Amino acid sequence: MIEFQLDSVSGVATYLQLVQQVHQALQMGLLEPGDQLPTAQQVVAKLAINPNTVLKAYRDLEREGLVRARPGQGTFVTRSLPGPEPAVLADFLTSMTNWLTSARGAGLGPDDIEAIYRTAVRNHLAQGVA
Amino acid sequence: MIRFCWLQARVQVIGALAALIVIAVILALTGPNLVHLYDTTVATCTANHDCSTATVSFLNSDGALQIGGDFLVLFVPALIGMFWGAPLVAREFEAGTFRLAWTQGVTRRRWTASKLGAGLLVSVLVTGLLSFMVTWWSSLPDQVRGERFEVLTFGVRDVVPIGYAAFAFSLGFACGLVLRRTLPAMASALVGFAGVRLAVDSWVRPNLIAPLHMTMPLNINTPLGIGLSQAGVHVTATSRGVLPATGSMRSGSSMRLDAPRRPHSSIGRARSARRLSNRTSRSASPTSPRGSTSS
Amino acid sequence: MTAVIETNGLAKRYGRKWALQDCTIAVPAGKVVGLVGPNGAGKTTLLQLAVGLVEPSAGSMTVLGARPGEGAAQLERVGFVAQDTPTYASMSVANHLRMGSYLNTSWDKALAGRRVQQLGLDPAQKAGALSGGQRAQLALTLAIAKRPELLILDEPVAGLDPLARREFLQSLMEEVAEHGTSVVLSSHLVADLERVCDYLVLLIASHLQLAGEVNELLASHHRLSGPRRDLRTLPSDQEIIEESHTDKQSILLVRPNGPVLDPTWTVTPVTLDDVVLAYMGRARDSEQSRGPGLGVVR
Repeated sequence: MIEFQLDSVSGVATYLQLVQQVHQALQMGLLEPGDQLPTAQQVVAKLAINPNTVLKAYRDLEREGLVRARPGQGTFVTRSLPGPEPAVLADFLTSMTNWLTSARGAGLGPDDIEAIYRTAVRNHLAQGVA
Repeated sequence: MIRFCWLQARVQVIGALAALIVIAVILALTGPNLVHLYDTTVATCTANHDCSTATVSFLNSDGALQIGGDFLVLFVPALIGMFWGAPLVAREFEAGTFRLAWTQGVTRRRWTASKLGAGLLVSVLVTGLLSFMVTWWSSLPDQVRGERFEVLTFGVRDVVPIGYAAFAFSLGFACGLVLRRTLPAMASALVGFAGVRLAVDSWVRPNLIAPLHMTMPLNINTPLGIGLSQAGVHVTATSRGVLPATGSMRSGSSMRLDAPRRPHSSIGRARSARRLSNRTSRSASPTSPRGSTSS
Repeated sequence: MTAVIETNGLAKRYGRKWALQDCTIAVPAGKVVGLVGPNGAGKTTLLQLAVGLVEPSAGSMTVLGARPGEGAAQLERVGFVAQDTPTYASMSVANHLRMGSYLNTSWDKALAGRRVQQLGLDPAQKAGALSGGQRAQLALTLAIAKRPELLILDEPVAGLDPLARREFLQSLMEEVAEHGTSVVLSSHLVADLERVCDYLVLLIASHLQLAGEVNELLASHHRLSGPRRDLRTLPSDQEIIEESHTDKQSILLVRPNGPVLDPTWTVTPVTLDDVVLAYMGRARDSEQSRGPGLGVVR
């Protein structure tokens, strides 16, 4: 069974982190159709978060069609994520590597790169209106 | 709620009962000796003409126990008020546990009533048992001393300590409720109870019934403790609550005590008349309680 | 949705000092409510009013539809853990559970026993010998095992080390997940509450500042940063909670009533901590400007 982690400093909403972790697990093959997700009780007993957060994440996943809640039994994975083609993944890996090379060439250290990455992710995933 | 009271108080209650058992054993062991001593010395003293020495030695035997028993019954109500009554609510406030106790499924009214009721019941039982044991044990010395209605003795016999214990517990409880701190509540309970007890002994009891005035022959056994003037002169004195013992006529001087002819004194008079007649049946020369005899 | 706590102009005074003033809230059921505010803001007073330990000086309050603390049935429906988690120091853990079963008809003996076992508490140990975290867990067990509809906790994790704090919150959340209990928990540290609460009530200096769902509060407050400017140029429907300026930049925390249309502002989301701190700062500033001779000259 998948075990959730919580990153309390990333600024990403908790329920979104749970959704993302399910997506990633499906992507990497850790979760397959038919697997059961941990119950809200199990998740909060470990993470000490509000159970409604877990339920909201599971509802979102259900809306995406990835999981189904069976009353009295639990929440189960219904299908795997349509993952990107390996070629697409390879393309992005190449472009990322190029970016990293040029960043290092411009004199950015690992901390700078980390900061840029986090800021970009945060800005991208947050709901801001300008 | 009663089960909970027991849960919290069982150590104290069992301790009190254990102490009572120890006292009971001591009194039970020494009691028969006292009776035996009485039978052999005081009961036969008039025949042997040594009543003064007999009574004195009788009253001195087990003197420590006599005094000890009286002191115990004197102080136990105060201790109950201090150590059982005062901390009951005060401790809850001091430790903050009232915020636990009063958010359970029991209203504050019921909580208070149960604690107060259970505490009163136990206080009355413990003090009652102690008092009746000491009264039983002291019955002969009381009789010989003739001080049963003397103020100090009256307060430590039969049901009187029960009343004091109930009062002391309630007073302690109230002090704890109002002051909300254990030590001040204990101190107030002690001072309050001692004050009330002293007031009752000094001002209330002596004035409940008009003093009894009676005439009786003066002899060496009369516990009046006053000095005499010239022989043949009548000295008037009153005594409060003291029942004179009679004995044989010794000297020619007599003492006249005035007897007021008031109806409400008749009870006291009748009671003391009964007691006098009990004693006179044992003594060699009966005297009447009224009127004077002079020679 | 039915309100689990409803107040109307609720106020409480101790002597001449008002501990709580003009508090009107309607807390929905099934939520974990965070009651936050600095020390002395009135949080403990509000909670003690809710369990009937004190009486209001003005206004009214209903808890689960009834007057607080009125009658044994009402007392059983609300579980309370007071500040410093009081327990009887000389009474053993097992006897505390017995007390719970004697004094509450809705006591769930199996649940209590299970929790004590899970927590690793020794039933024979006296409560005074327990660690702070264990005592807090015992107090929580006593409150939970009577199966209340509402749990009220007054700064339950304030004195605990981080591990004990985490374990307490895990326990609490597990109980909420299992039984759907409504919870109101107070703290002067927002960080404790952020991952746990979905409704927030903010009290500052005996006054209510904010009350609402956490999602809504976070969505309705934004941080705006941009080039330094005169704030009178902002549209008037944007309530500024906090502002700070350098010579080049202005940063505001606002509660806008409409979208922010000025493109020179960069809008970023805020955390609950940010919001609470901003309101607390605003309250302190307004108090200082009211005080005699304490105004800050800029």
